[in-house]
Amino acid sequence: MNANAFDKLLIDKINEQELEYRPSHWLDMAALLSASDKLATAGYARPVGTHQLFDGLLVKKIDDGFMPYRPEHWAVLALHLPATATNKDLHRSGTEKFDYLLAQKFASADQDFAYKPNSWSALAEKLPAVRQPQPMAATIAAKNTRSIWQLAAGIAAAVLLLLIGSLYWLQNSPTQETVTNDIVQGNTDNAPKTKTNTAPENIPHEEAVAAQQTAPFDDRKEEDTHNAAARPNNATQIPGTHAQLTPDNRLPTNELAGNNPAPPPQHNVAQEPTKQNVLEREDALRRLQEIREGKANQQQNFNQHFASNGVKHPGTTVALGGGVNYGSLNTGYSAGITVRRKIAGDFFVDGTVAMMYNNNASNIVANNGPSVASARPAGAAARGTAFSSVASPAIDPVQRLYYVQVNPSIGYRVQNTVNVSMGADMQRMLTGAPELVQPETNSALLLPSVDLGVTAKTDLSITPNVQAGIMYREGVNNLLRKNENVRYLNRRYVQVQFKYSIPLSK
Amino acid sequence: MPEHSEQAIIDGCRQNDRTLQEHLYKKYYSLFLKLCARYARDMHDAEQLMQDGFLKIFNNIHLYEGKGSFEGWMRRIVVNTCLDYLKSKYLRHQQQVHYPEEMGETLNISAVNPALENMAVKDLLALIQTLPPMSRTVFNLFAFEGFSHKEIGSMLDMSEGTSQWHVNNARKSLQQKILNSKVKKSNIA
Repeated sequence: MNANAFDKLLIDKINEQELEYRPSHWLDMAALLSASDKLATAGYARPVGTHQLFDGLLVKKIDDGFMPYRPEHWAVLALHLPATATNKDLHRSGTEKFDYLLAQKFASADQDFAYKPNSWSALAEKLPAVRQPQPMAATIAAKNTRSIWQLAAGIAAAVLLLLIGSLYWLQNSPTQETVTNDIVQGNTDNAPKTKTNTAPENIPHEEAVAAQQTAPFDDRKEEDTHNAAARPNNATQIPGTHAQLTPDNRLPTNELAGNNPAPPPQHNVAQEPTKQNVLEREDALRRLQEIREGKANQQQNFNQHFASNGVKHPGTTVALGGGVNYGSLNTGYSAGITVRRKIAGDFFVDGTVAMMYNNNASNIVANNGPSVASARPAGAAARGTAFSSVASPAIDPVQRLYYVQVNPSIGYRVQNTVNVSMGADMQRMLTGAPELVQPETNSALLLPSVDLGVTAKTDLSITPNVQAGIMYREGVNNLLRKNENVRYLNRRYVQVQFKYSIPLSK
Repeated sequence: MPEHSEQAIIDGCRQNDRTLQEHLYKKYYSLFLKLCARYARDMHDAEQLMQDGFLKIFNNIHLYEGKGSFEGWMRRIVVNTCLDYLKSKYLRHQQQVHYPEEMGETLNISAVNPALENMAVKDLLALIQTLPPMSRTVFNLFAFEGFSHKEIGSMLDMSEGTSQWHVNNARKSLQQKILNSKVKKSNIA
């Protein structure tokens, strides 16, 4: 189909009122027309007259890329028009012709007003002297609009998930258990140790035995014979420290005087950040600084990140971030680095390496009572807590747990700014001892030195480089290790995360 | 005047390059002055509206997204400048009443159009400026800017019927004035 045929079809469309005809539109397009070589080489005559002018302008628009030109569009258009399309002249009513003539009059170049230089001078005085370079309006407007809504949506989502996690935590917090198999009398031989800076004592793994009963789960078990043999009075033995629980779970106060509780194994839980982490952090901060200075790159990343059709999100990104944990036994925070790589379509894989800090104090105090050394004056009787009639024998219960976390996951980009992912989680406790026994209300669970879990997370891009996210982590040690003698502490928490990402490749 | 590409002019104006700003000003001076003259009551007001329009263009050129015609973008700014001025000065005091849709028969258009073709723009502008402000504004928006009656109604807070009435009223008045001016010239000649 050639240009004339297209022109005929278009005129017919206009005459059939399928295209709204406005004279001013033609005038606008006429202003764009210039002596284009494209038109000449494409075989179109220089436009003269009304519909040839319109045709030429339309073709120019197509050639300039304003409209994607495809020959099949013409074929489709032809199907909807009468078979015998005639080259009708544009019919105008007298009124429409009057309007058209008026518009033509004003568009005519030979009716221009003479230019007055004084008017420019007057205008120039009102213009600002210097203007800072400003980014494209589309990105500013879009960025501002999107930022506000996305920030609001991100905050609302985070607050909502936090509330849900808190409700879940409150429902499952171990407040209902009464002490039945409680903690112990201590040995008299061990003197209390200072709170920190004590050399860790290695507790042999074999001696770390947990009680068979679990608190929050239904799969309680009877003690096995092995443990029964170790505890001839059917009591729980806390390794490294204490004597056995009395069958009636009560500790006569007069016995305490002679049975000063042995201190628990002290572990140097204060872990200095490693040199490698410090270097990584400095390197990341340096990269952050470079990015802040290069706003054009940031803008480009924005366009790449939020473009919908045809433009993919960055192939590889590195993100620095941190999070705050909320869980039944695990409040704390983490900081780390995440590398994310697009694999196919909207799927991606990412891996996080982080340092994690867990504050175990609430669990300690809730289940064991306050530290004896700090809470009780010398010679005074031990005090129970709301959860235990027996005060903690621990002089300094382990409160701060530090981990290195590795969390690989696979995810999917649900929308341009929303991702979901699931993965595995491995956290290595940074202590000298392989495992800790952590007494609970009526059972003792092991804090595994290598804590295995699964994660599910979602993140929302608040800005092109900043993401806010929620992650849920569930420990699966008991599922994977299948040790009948040992029950592991399931570290379960919700983590609110914020990350700053740096695209590395497209 | 040396030729600059449109994109170069836009970039230069964003950088506050006086040379390119003046280039843009000169290029569209006549077009926008004619546009403003159709909305204003006299040429003095028209020049002031044009200056205000260009000032807004230069101050907001960084908001041009690159979509669509740059001239069309500027044109919309200038038209909006005119409308804002008219709304503040004249149109807010216009009472919106229901006008009868039936306008009666129009003039013999075959006599008007030839007179229009031979009329100078400045004379035509002078005639347009004598139209009532509301009818003049609505007619400009409909006939020159291509807005529909519905769009005009929402812009100027009137019904479609009222918009149609103003367009017909303005057209009829203008045609009458054109014919009268032709008769005058004939008499003088």
